[in-house]
Amino acid sequence: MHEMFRVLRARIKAFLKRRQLERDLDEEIAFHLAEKRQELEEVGMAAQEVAMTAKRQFGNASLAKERSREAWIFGSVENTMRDVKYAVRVLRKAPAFSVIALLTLAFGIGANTAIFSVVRSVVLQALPYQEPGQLYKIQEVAHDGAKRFPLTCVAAGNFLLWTRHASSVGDLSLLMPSTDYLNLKDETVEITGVRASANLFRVLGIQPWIGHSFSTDEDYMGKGRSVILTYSLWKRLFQSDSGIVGRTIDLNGFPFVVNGVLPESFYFPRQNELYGTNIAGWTHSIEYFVNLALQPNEVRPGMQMFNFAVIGRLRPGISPNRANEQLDVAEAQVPTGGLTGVKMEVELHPLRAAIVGDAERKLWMVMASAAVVLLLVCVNLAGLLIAKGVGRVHEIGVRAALGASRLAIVRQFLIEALTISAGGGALGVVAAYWGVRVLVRAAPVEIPRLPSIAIDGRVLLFSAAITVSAAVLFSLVPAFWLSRRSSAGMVRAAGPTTTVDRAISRIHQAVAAIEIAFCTVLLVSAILLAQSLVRVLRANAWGNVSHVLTLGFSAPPSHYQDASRRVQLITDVIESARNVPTVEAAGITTALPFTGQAWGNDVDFKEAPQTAKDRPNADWRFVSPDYFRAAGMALISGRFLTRSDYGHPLILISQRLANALPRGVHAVGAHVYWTPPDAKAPVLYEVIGVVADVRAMPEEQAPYMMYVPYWVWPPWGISLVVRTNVDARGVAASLQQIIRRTDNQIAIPHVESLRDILNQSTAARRFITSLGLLFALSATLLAAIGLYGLLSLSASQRTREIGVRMALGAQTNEIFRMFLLEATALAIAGLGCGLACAWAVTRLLRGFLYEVKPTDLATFISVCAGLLAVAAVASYAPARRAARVDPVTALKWD
Amino acid sequence: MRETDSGELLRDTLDMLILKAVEHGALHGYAIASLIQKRSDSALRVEEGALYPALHRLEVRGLLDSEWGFSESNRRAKYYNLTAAGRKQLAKETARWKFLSTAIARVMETA
Repeated sequence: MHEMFRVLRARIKAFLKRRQLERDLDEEIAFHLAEKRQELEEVGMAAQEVAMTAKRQFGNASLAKERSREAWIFGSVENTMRDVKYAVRVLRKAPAFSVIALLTLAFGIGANTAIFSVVRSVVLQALPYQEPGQLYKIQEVAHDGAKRFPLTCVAAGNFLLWTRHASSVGDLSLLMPSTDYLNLKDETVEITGVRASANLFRVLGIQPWIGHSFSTDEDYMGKGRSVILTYSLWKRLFQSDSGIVGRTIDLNGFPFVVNGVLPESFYFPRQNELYGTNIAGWTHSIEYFVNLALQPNEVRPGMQMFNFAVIGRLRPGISPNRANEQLDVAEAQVPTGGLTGVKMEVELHPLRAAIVGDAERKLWMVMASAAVVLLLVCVNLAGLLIAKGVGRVHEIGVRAALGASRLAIVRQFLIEALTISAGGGALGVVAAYWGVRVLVRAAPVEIPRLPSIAIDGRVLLFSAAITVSAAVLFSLVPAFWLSRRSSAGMVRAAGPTTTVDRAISRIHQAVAAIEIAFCTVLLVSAILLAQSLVRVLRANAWGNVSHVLTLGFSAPPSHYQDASRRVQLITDVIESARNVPTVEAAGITTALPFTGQAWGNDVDFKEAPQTAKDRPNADWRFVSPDYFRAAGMALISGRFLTRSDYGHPLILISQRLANALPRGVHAVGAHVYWTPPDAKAPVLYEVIGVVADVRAMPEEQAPYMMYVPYWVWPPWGISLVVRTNVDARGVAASLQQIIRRTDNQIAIPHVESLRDILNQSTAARRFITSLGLLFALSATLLAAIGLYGLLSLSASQRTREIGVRMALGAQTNEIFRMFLLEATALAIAGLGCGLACAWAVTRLLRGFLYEVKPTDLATFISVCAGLLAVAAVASYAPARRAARVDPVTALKWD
Repeated sequence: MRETDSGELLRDTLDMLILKAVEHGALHGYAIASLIQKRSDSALRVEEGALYPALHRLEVRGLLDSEWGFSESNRRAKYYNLTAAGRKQLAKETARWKFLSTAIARVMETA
């Protein structure tokens, strides 16, 4: 075992047993004095003189004790302060090194702090519920032979089977997000909430802050209407009115009694997190809860009305597997109707995992790349310290001669490193504080639990830990190496020798190669991600997206129960919008492109009859004739709708759906059976056109799509889509006025250009990609600095050698080439390692890549070329300097 | 760290002498001081104020270890013993000492 570790161990032991040590020391000295006294008595000294003489001969006993104690303890605060002052002085003398160290450490520590605060809030922190580990999200799964179809939502009737036949598994609550219209005195706002069974808050272990929860009989329709507000909604729309409990508010035109207000800290997943899927416009925060009020048609078990989500708390002592078995038994009673061969089962997912989803892996990946960047910062600084240390060999030698132990020299290095690392860490935390705000603002809504992200005590503890680790990491190797080097130098009593310099450059070369290797891995990963992003954007390319404005609005149910009134409303809005001067086309749709699937339903072609199970399932959208022109969608065959088609049973289908028709059946002119919600019998609709495919989500294949004119069945939730010949945002205000003028009870929850929507839908990918690129590019910069530092040092160390070579007839450009070759050799060594690692690491990226193979050859080749170019640039200046050496001066060196 | 301590050389020498003193068995501090004094015919007198810090330094460095026992006078005393690392260190110091002293002697004897 090395002596340093023995000392460290002994000191730690002594620190833990410091009282014992103190007593031992006292007793030891007392024994010595006693022996002395006895000796003096034996030689016949008078009794009264014995004690005095013994003490005098011993000298200052407390000083001896003090000195003995010092062997055991770490340096005092005083000594440390002196060391820090010395460190600051040393760092001041090397401003270039200090500034580089400070800035790179600040960047590395700041980036890690910021990313860690996100990881901690999103991934590491438990959900803020009682015993969150017992909470599960429960889903239904349909099995058809070997095929498995997880259902996004649960049917309430089937849920009731579970509570009836498997009640012993625990407490299960039924939920369904809904969007409602809150009528206030002078405006109507659209808000998103959840229909929840009475036991929801008991399941979560949360009490309303004021007021009370729902009662169990409110779970069924007709037993009252009550609402519980979140703190933020209560503050925002009810001005924190403490008398709100017991009052009624107007939701969708119906009176609801306010039961209570939830605590400010209450957290609830957003709709998309609750369902674990992206459905058009489902990224709103939940702002209130209403009683479940199950309708009679919802309570029947079966294969319809899959609309709900289930959160359950398992009874303590029951394993999720056992609960699953019991629920499967209950689920087996679900009547599958005409779907023979379909078996229904249940799946349990821990609630935290269900909410966080694949954000967890993405965030860990980002965290890993941030860590690699910090590692690079450290490696780089270690290299610089060694380079700088060459000049300090003499200083260190002198200190060793003055009696400084090797430990003391290592310690001095460590303190220098800690001093600068602390400075960098402080800067980094300040930067991270702002960085986190930028991150949260830039982060896509798909990242769950965003609002809870903050830099708190634990995050600061993490920053402190990485600050110290970074200091240890970048100073220990140079310190050990230099202290050994110095003591060796003392024995031989010689100046710096060429063998030593060669050892330095060997370590330094390894450092530079390692940096290039790390950098290769990050660059390959980032470029694969960037290529994926480019491909996603290309797959969703769309003409002139900034000239298309979308306005969401809904017909309030209280005024528009009658379908003909909704048809009238939609017709009026479209007509008024068309008359706005810059508008080229105006239409409506039920779901905008890139916002997720809308309403899934089977398509029953008259010309291609199939059993219910085998019919294609399409995304049905209700549109007006000019929607296609307004949104900029291409016609493949047939024709678009026109206003003169009003009232006729005509439809359009998407290209994929048309291609799914059996051979020989022409899409245009084919017919589809469908029963609109208010009709008694199926109606036959004629396909008049085929429209180009449009994706519901940017990275998923376009679904089969059905476009049904709004007059066939007028929807409630509508998006007005308007194409203008100016920037779309310019007409937003006048369009809002038009809708309000038609009916001032209508809420307009969102106004966005199609560009905004496209940007949002690709935000997650852009977020990850830009972070990846940021880290990869900063790693490249660090590696370039490292290489530059190495070659500059080597150029100055080898001045004499270069002089000799030149004196022997070497040409300037040969020296220049020699240095470039050295850099290239290093870069190639680093690249070799890096490519091998990247080959292994990029496999982990597979899930995040879009139409790019993790081993994409072009990416690997371009990274090689890029890094070689960077190496050449970084080595150009040092190589030039070396080549310009004047042989006469060089040989006179020293 | 105390780097400006005077008498560094003496400190190293004292360490060497202590290691040598306990070469053949555990001794307490008082006995170590007496032994050095006796063997050098009272030419070297060990300052007690330096002895104990040196003993503890050597113990922390793992060159000595210690245990409590009873002295001839039947008092509790702390006995120091050479560890394996200490024995190695002693051999190294001895060799260095011999090399240095003969070198110095040769210099001093010429002319």
